[in-house]
Amino acid sequence: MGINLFLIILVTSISSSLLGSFLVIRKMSMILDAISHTVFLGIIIGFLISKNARSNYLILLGIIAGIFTVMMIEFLVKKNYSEKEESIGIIFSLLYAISVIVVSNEKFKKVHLDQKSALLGQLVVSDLQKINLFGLEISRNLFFGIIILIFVLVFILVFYRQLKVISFDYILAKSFNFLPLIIHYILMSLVSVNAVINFNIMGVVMVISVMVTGPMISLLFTKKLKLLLIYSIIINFLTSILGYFLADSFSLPPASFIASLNLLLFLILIFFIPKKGIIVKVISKLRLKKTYEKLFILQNIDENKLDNIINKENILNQLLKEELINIKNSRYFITDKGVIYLQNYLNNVKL
Amino acid sequence: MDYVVLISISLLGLIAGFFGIFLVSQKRALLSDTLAHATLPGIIISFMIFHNKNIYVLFISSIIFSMLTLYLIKIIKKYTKFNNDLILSIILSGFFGLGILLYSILNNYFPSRENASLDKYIFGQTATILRKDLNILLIGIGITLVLVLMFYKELKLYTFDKNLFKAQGFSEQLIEFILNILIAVIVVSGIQMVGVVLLSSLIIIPSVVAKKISNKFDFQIIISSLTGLLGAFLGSFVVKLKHFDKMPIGSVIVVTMFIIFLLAVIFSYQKGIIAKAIKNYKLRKKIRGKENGD
Repeated sequence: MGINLFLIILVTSISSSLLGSFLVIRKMSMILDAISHTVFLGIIIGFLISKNARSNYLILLGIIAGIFTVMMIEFLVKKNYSEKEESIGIIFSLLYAISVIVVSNEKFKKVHLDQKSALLGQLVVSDLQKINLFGLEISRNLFFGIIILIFVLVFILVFYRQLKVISFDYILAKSFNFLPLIIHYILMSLVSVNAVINFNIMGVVMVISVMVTGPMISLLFTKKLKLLLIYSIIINFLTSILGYFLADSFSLPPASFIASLNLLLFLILIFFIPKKGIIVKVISKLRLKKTYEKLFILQNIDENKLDNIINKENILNQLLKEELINIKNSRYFITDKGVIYLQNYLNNVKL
Repeated sequence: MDYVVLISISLLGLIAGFFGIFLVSQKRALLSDTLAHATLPGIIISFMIFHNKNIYVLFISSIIFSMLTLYLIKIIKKYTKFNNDLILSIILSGFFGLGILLYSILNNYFPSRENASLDKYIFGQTATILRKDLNILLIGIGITLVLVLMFYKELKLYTFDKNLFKAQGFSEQLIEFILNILIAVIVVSGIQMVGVVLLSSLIIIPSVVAKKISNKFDFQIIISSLTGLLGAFLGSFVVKLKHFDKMPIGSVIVVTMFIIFLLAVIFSYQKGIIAKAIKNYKLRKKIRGKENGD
């Protein structure tokens, strides 16, 4: 474990969460799924052209493949050949299938460009290839990671206003003449570059986890775009570093550890956070249901309209215990306390 | 390649197309993709517990785990404000990562030669299909056919009009349960043949072709099943040819199905490009004729 690897994780987690935030608020995360799979084809074609697994063609063609994917999906939707979900499924599986077919060729056996490395990623290997930059020896992936981070930062700082409007109201952006289409494609190409860089590190599926989880968790806590960006960087960075160290100490693959940690964090949060958590919601829903049943019974107790309520014995017993109703000659009557309870509730309820 | 492979892959295509039309018509096409990825931890946990002793036990427990995943997705969808796409993508990547993690734990701490048999659940290895796997597939097909035929009316109604379905007094939970069983059965029985990534295309592409060709749901089911069968059969037939024999069957099938999709887009009798062009041409001619006549 070197300082290089630490820096790679830092850099990619920042750019992933920045780009991921915009994808998440634009609800395009399944397109990200498609892109992350299809950059594999670009990388392979790049390898076929340059005959070198470390060539820069791999990155270039990866970007082209990503943009091509987005364009194909949008083309199918626009021409009404299939719906959006279907187009995503069709295009990415086609391109991925082609890449699997190409990779099955003998040539690829030597360079570790196969389905396994594509799906699983190789974070440890990515540290090995070095580049000399101003006398400093840094790994090639780190170098590209820093460059893409700079691009992402510049893009977001320059077009922050435009991105904000496009993300929330595409038509408004069009009417402001913000050139939403161009910004959309710049964003998509940055996402593709990020997917290519991450391809070496995380593998095609777990890239999605790194890009989507941070922003989604942050959405639980904030509704402001700036805060969303900051929170998701922090969350992503923490889970990546923690996942990396834990994986290292158990000698397990870091990418999958980070993805699992992300999932775990997400599930814990959505179930257990106060106010918005699923458990709180379920409990309050049940409580509300019980209250309504109680009130309904109290209101209708004299008229005996109680046939529709399923387990009324339970509720009646409870009401008896709280002395809100009384029983006389096997008929139920509302007590004074019950009337006060009912009136209190009806006065306080907001319609 | 022997006939077991050919028969099982064609049957898989048939059944994926047959059921896929329900999913695609409900606009839940990508659910199959998500489940194909998310079923991996379930398969590996089942393997850890039962150690591949009985392939049928593995099958059933994987189905149970997949259904738990589907219910998790449903709960998250019901109680949070996240968009469907977001939930699918986070479940997809997270569960896949978890699966890979469990797989490496299995390899690191409990090394055994049997572990390699799990590889096929990730990448899909059609060439190694055995009679046992064919039996599993046949069971899956049996379950699917029986359930769909038993609940055909309800499934159809639920697919197109949920509110009417509820108003008729049918149980939504029951039909969701049946749908979940069906998705899980098809994904688990198909995943070892084509791998996690390509399974969804077997479900999606035939249904899209069927929707291109016909507007009637009963016809769509037939067309979709036939397209699945045809694509799978032609794909595995191509792999039998001389120069193509080293290609992975699953991928070839996907490419074949895509070609069928393109053909449908171009030549479909009602909605194809050519049909539309002819229609436009006739309309234009008619309008011009009217203009000249006036």
